[in-house]
Amino acid sequence: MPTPSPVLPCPDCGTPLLSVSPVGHCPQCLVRLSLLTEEEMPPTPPSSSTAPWTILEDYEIYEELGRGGMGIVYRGRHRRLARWVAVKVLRGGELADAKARRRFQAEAETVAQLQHPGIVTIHDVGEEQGVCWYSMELVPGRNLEELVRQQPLDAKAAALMVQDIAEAVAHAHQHGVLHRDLKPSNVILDAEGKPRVTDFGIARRGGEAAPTQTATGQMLGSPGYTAPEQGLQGLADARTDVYGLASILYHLLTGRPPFQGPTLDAILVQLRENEPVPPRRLNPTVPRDLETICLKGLARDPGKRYPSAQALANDLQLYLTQRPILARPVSLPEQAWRWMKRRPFIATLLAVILLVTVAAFILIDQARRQELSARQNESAAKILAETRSRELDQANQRSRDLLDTTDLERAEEWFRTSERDRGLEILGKILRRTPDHPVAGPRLASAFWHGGVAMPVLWPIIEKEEILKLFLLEQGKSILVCTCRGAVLRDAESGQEIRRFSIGDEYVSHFILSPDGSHFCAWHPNPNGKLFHWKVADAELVFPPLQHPGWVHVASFTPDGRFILTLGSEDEAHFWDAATGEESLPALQHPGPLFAGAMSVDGTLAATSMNGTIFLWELPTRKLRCMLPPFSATVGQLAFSEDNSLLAAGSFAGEVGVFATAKAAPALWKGRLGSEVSSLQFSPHATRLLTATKAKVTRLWKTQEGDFLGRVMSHEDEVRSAQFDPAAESFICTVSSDGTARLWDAHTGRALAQPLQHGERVNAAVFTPDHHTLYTAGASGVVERWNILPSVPRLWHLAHQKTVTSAVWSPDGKQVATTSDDQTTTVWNAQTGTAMVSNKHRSVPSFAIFHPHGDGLLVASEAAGARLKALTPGMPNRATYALEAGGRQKCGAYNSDGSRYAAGTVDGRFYVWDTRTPEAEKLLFAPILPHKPELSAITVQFSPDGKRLLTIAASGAEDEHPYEAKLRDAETGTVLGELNGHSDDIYGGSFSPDGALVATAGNDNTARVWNGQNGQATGQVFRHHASVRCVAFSPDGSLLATASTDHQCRLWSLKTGQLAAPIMLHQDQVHQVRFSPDGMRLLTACADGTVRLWAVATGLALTEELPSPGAVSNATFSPDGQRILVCSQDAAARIWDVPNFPPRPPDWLVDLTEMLTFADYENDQAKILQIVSRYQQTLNAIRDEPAASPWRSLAIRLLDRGTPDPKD
Amino acid sequence: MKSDASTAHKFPAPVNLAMGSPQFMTTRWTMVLAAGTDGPGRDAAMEQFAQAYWYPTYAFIRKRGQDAEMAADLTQEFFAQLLEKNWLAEVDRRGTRFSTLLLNILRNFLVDEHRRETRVKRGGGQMTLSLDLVSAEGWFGAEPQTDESPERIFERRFALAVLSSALQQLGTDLRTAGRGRQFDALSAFLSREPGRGEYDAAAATLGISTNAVAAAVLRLRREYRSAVRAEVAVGLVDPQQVDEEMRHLAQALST
Repeated sequence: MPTPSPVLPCPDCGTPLLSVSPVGHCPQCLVRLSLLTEEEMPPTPPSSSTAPWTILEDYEIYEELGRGGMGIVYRGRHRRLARWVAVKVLRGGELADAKARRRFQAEAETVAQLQHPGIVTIHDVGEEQGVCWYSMELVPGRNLEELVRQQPLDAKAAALMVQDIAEAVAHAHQHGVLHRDLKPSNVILDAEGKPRVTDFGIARRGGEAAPTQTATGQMLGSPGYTAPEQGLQGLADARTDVYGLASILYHLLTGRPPFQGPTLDAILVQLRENEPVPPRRLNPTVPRDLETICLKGLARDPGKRYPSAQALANDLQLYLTQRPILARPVSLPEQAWRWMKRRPFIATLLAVILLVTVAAFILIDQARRQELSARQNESAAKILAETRSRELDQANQRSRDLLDTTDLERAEEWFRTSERDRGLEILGKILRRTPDHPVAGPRLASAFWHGGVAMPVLWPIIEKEEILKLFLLEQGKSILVCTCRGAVLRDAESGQEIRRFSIGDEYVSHFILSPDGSHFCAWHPNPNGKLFHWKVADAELVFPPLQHPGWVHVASFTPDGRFILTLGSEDEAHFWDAATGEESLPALQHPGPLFAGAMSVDGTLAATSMNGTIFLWELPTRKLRCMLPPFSATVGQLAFSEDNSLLAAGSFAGEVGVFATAKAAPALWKGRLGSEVSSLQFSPHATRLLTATKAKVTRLWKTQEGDFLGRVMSHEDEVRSAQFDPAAESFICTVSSDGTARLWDAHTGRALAQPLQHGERVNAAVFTPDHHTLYTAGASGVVERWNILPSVPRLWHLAHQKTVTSAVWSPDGKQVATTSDDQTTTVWNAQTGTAMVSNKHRSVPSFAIFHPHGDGLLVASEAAGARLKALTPGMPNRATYALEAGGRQKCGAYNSDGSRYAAGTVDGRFYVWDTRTPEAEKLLFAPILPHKPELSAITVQFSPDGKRLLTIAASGAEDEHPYEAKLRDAETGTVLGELNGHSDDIYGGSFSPDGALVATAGNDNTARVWNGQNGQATGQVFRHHASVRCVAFSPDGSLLATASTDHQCRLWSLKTGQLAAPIMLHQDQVHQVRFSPDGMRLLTACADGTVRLWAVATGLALTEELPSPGAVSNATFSPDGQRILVCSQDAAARIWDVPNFPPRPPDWLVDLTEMLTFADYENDQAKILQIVSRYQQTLNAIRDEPAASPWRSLAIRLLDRGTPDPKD
Repeated sequence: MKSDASTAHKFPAPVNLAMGSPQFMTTRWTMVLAAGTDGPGRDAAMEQFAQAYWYPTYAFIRKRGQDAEMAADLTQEFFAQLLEKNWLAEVDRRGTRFSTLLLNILRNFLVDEHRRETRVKRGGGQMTLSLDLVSAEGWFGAEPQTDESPERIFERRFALAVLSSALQQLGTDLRTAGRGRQFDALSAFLSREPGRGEYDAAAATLGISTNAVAAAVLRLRREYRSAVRAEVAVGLVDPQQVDEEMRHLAQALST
């Protein structure tokens, strides 16, 4: 505060100088100075090396070189030594007291002793007027931050650079000096381009927290690079510097710090809660290993980082020499790939697999290949023979059986995961060991037939660079292969180059295609990055590369292709004229930088995200429609539904939400995934939402409810994208850093086909419009082309609007009838899957049954009773009729010739009609009334001879007599016997094929067998651990199958009363069981939506679990036993082909299995030679499978893709 | 092709941690203003703030008729409450001039009849200003005996406090930046032109050439201008208002 002084006038302006004026100054003059505008200020003299600003001890101080949180660096010159130096003056406040200054001196002297080529040397340390300073080498080059401002470093250069820095830091650590503020701007490149670390440790008070902060968020440190323990708790040790080194690596690879935010708080919150965005997301060319090293160094928990800077340097060295890094265990496919890479000769041979496959399409040098094959065959066959004989010696028959069964179980376990290739591999091994195994062959056939398979096709395309994106153009006739150096247009059949789109030395990583496929753009998200826009037709840039301000995260063509929308680190979303590159539409203004964006399909809406907030824009007017309730973390993904009514959003924290776009309203639902959402896609009609995450997991959601749909689709590493096939009905394809692309069922998420191996990470996948072919590509630079065998499983998909309530085969198996809650009955052609007749009813039909003659369909509905309708115009000898019962018919049955029809109603009454009277129906006897009013009919069945009737009514109530099950005379209704013995409700019953027995399924955990004439208990009781839901007699009447909610199906011998086969186990309650007409196979239906076929003889599974989206309510064999009809609780019934493959498959099946799974190829050189040499032979063998062979159908399917895929 | 210079620089540059003098100033202010922030940093900043601005408050209270002792007590109390109650919170993003805002707070404080009682109970508050009562009365006694309103006096004293505070701050900052000697030798030339030989003398003191001294003075003036403007700009929503604030400052000083 000023002190009193006498009043004097100002010598310049004469104003009296008051006692409270600033000491020695005239306030008027000071104000006048301060009032000057910028222009009126005299210019600051240009800094000149000839005029030092001031003097600091022996140093002349010249202009400032830079400022940081800790102080200011000046250019200085030692007066006596005439040496140019950099002088850093530390902020006085940091070293306020003498003790602190002494400590600084001591520490600086320690640092001054560090002599390392990677460390900027300190010359002098001093203090003046309480201000500490030191002088150091003047390194004139750029710092690393400046170096990567325009473009990230190449991965190898970055790794080399950080390795050097890490070694310098390790040297310091050995001398007990921590840096504590490692960041790109603290590393300067010297004249040789070598990195030199500066600002070592001394700016920080010994052992205490380095960065301090102000309340506004100005961090006197380096927030984006600070380790969490340092930034949040003020702790630091060697691992803190490891974090700093990794953050430098991160910056070099991506051009930005690991964490960014508008305020310090924003950064600190991220530091505490988020993981850094993986570098490859920002720069897809970063190799996976280098990313792993980087992220290990950036681990939030110091214990999970490299223990020392040297350890980091060592791992970088391993990476640079292409050896496995220590950062993590290496997965199998990767080991294999590495093994190949280190053995170029073998790798070349393996590459031949790609070139040779399905070579019928392409001509290549046959002679040379054959020569090669012959040579390799010789040695391979020898090794194989030895192996085989050894195996035979080792195992006797018995132990082999046991081994086979155990292996089958193991295979089934793998089939339930996404590692289907492991299951295939095991089946292949079993068949090598036991070629005539009763089940392994058919099971393997089903794995291909029902589980699908992707057959690699010749596609001799190998680019020099990593492939980042693929587009199919001209209806799949050509393919655009995009790499960081541009793109190449190739013929989709021959692979020949049509056109090349070059960008010189520039670098791109993101690509978009215009809606009509005539143009495409490429860019890289870095500051001031360029956006290239080409016309596909002539390889000319439409306009010079667009110099975009800021980072572009998202670019998108408008639906009419006239504009390109870009958004990113700026506050605005820009619209560029696609023809001129001019910004011709006003930008969408936001209060902060953007991250994600999406445009609706019709181009009327756009959604943008800024942190967790989503903005919804009306594009025609450019008005903000609304802001949607925010997410807790940055929204990184946005997607509109096809009809624009819904918007899906996914955040870095794994939140997923769906919003109605009509107005600002809370999300229809919000769900949560384990980690950052990496992609989002609606199915057409928006019934399903597909989400992929960084945490290896892809999931389907029900769009309306927000519930998960189907299974978890998992990879072994980050999923880079997930997409539906073009119709979203058959496949989901995911591509991952684990080196595979994978296919999944589009409705249930079940794994299909084998994982498509690439060895290195897969970045892109694209389906042909018919989704029969898939192209995949990634880091290896190879474009692989796969023929996807129609998952053919679902041969036909019989769709209704609402739940299908029943589905039956016609007696000849040529038609199928379905009833649905949508009040329709439809008759389908079972050969083509087309609807032949569809009737709309006034009320919901309960069920439909074909007349035993097959020419009429009887439909029971509430309003109209049961009506028989003619299916052919001149239905002979019978008119149509309507059979009205007193209540809604719940079950009904014809006798074998159709002369009688029996029905049971919801109120427990049973009726029998004589249907032969041409004009009207006739009840044979008065309705049979239940004893208790709450009973409801569940089964009515004629005995095979038609003389007796089994009637079962149940209540579901807990009661002494909860059910009524009776045998009656079919003509008079007289009771012949009562089936009394179950202690609880029963679910149904059935006559044996000869009518001598009746079996019932009870809620008392038993199935019971009764005399079919008089209903007396035979005493045979078959037990489960839980309720028995269904019973079935084998066609020969010797076996009884029981299905239970204990997840089991059991097969009993009626002769012995013992189990006739091992227990058949499902993953959930088994609700139904049926025998195939030939009695060889069992069909079970499970509450988890799967059905499955089993071998009666062995109790082993013959097929995949065949999935439906809902629980299965009914499943039946077609009369010929070659197909099954599945009615599940979604709006469809499905027909599956279930060919009866015999044991002992042809050799080509096992060969193919080994080739597709690369069984053992990672360690067995001979095996690889064998695979390569046999590949063509195998394909030929498949083609030559005899027409009469039961395996012919599979062969045809493998080569020609078989029948067209069902229309869904 | 868009090449609008106004947008070209808008992408976030790498975090720029450089801090010129005005930012040091801002730092201090924002420490004071930060609601809910505790700790020595804020107390020190508040102390600094109070040291710079207590006299206008004292003069205002005295001019309203309080005796010296009471004015000193109230001034103490006022600054204590200012800190404790976080009254300055609204300075951040303010629309009005800072002096007006402070004056309003002060008036409200004085109008509250219960202040004196609570003051006694609170035992003087958390923060104790070391008011130099002797100097205070000396300065107050030297105030021109006019009919000026207490508000007018407050405004003028406040304006002077801004100028003093900026000068003091500049000195602190430059010392911190290792240019303390330069500031001591050259700050006299902020408000006036050098007399004959004065630059030569300064050059000799600093060990640099006379031309370098002239350049350094120019640099210093720029820096002082920035410091004053930073001081008045605190919390202004619209940076355009700085010029308006500066005009008010000049007006308050004009007689």
